[in-house]
Amino acid sequence: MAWTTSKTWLVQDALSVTDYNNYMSGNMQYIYDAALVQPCVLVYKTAQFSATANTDQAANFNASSTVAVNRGVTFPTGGTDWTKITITRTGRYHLGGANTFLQSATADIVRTQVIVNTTAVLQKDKVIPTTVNGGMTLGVSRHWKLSSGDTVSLISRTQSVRTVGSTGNPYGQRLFLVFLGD
Amino acid sequence: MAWTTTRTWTTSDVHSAANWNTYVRDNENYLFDRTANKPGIRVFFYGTFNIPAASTTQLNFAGYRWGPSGMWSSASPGNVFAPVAGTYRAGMSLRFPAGTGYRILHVGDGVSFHGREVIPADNTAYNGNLPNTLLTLTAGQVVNFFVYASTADTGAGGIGRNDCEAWLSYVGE
Repeated sequence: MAWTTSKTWLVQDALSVTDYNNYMSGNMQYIYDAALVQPCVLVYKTAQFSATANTDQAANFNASSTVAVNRGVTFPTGGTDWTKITITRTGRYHLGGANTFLQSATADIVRTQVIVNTTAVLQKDKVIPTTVNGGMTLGVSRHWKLSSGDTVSLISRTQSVRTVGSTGNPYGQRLFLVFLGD
Repeated sequence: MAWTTTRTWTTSDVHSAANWNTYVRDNENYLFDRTANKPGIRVFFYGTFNIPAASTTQLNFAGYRWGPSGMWSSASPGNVFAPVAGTYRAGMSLRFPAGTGYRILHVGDGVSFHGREVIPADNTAYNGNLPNTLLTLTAGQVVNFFVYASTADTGAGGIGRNDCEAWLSYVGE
């Protein structure tokens, strides 16, 4: 349902059923859909995995994962790809993700990325020294314009072999997006 | 009161008071309550407090900003309430004193923890910031904010009211 630019009424205008449906029912429903049932997703996982050194690793939200909120997008993409969320509505989004990197004997630069299609639109690198005890979560978030058909994924990367994921319950990797407006 | 899908009118429809109240008055109020007047609050604590070692501690707050009073009360300072059902965005930030080990911030909805953030300690004061997570809540459901410390903290929270704060805001259905 599309928005109909509100009409400036004149004294001689008749209020037709068509006008009523366009300017009252149609526009009110449009506001409801856009403001309150807008696209909104949160996926997270608790499983750990051993990251391969110097390799981008897309978070697979299939195993040991929870889709806490899933509205207005296609996920998993193509019915089977649990690494990609496909956007079905063009607009501005609040987009974010985080990875938790566990302690290791090797000093390392770790990375969290959110990619749209094949391009990184959010990225943060941080040194995780050997003295870090218990691990560290590295999160990113940003407002970003997405188009229908775009795919969104969460990437982790480490310089050495290191465990990524939860240090226990609850979770260690997450990806979310919230529609902000047209 | 629930949203009613707007009506497609036909020429034979009677424009009754009941129809007007359902499709116009109630729906307009529903939209107003969840858009221009949408629920959201920031709660804070000022002063210092201790976090025991190897335990999960629920944060209690001293006041709030920019929210309806029904979402938080000093009578239950650790509870933030969702006034209407829907999806909410929640986050928190907390200042720790110098320490060792690690800290974890997370949000609880009475069923499970969410939005975990693991923060390594260092030998100077450090800050934890759980940027955002999404929660699906029922009307009246309580949200709590927690911190875990692997080693004890004395004087967490600092002295300013922005050294310990959390937020909960309505996003949509």
